[in-house]
Amino acid sequence: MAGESTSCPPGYSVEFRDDVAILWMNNGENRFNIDTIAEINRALDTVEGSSLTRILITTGVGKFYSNGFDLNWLGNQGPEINEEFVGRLYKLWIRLMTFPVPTVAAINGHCYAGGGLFALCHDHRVMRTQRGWWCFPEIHIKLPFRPEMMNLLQNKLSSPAVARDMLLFGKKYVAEDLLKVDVVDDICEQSSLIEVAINRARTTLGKDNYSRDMLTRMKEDINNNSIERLVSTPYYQAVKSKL
Amino acid sequence: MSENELQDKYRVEYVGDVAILRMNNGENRFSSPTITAINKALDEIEKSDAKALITIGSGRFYSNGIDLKWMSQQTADEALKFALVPLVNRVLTFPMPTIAAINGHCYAGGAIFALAHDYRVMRTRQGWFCLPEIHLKLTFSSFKHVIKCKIPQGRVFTDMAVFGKRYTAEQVKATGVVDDITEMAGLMDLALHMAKQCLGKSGYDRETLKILKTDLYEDAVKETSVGNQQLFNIAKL
Repeated sequence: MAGESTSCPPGYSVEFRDDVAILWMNNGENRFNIDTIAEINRALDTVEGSSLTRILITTGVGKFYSNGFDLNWLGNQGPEINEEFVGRLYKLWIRLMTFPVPTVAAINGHCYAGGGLFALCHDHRVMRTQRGWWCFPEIHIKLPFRPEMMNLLQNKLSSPAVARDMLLFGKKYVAEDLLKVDVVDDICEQSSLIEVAINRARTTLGKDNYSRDMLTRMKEDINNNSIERLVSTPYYQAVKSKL
Repeated sequence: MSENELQDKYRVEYVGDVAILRMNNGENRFSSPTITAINKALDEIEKSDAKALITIGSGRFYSNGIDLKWMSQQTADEALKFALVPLVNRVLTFPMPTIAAINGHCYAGGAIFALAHDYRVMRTRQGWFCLPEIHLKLTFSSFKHVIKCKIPQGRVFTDMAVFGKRYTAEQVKATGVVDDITEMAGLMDLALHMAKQCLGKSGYDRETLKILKTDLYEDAVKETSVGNQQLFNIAKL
């Protein structure tokens, strides 16, 4: 079952298939603002609350995985809301990076900017072929990353040349390109995307049973550099205790 | 040699909106006067409308690194003003795409200078690419951040940086540290082609690119040290 838009409710929803949880993003360009971050967090709460779940897949519906930050909305908010947005975003990234089960971003379409960052916070990425660009367009729109975002990105990319092309010069990649530079683990047709994502997670799980606590502790430790950078920002500190 | 005569060995020319800095000073080694000349050339390029920078040597050398003979003739005070780290960092964060067209030997400080560029192309059949510091009984010291930023971790880093292996054009291309190679006659065209490909239709906003490079290479950029006691000691031996 490919789960196209006809069978998927609008907005952010969770579907359980045995021990797999699929977070469906069916919100147009699936951009991040304070409301959509809250919805994603509620969805993640549901997943964490399901003790049978051993795998998390995130995916979009239609042409977009995620086009990044909701810049239109951000442009209409004052500095306080902008700062709160950044803090909540960092909290979400940390939550995802340290999620207590294996996570796979099943990239069904365009994945730009903050969408790419979101995808890189997963353990794995798989991507459909024939449609959809992956790109960090910051250089083209003259909106540089914040230093702590650059630090996070750099830790997730495998080589200096890839970091140069992707982060400095905003190169656009299709699925085949991303496979070559080790940013995605598998590529396939859209109709197989969820299945391939699940298979990737099952390969990772193997026969072992990872305790959720231990997996979170491991992910926190491995990512402690980037996490510390995000946590130490005033944005994060301001929302640290907010729900 | 007068300052003007020296400056003449570091000439700038323009091909469309690409600036080309030609180093035509023998082994193109770095001393305080040659660093000054390169900085003056870079000043001119930054003031121009150029959208990309290519650097190239001449004859058999791209650059053989630091001028140890010059260093050995300096007083301790003068040696401590040796500003290669700031020059390397300037190239590292230059506000336009940069390409090192490695026309010949590229050793030590010369290789570090080449690594500070965004892209590297190299001619085939002549010239070694090498970080021979271990063989010279030197550590990278202030330059280690640059090489860590630009050389892939793992076997390549171990061979290239730690154990000072020397590479032909084909070998260094295989590591990914050099992006493309070609015969000498086609080297500048290759560099220009890479520049055009990188620039795309409109080039890049200088301010944005500088911020991105400064953040991506922040560990190297934080290194502001001038002078190098280690080098001075070696040169004096």
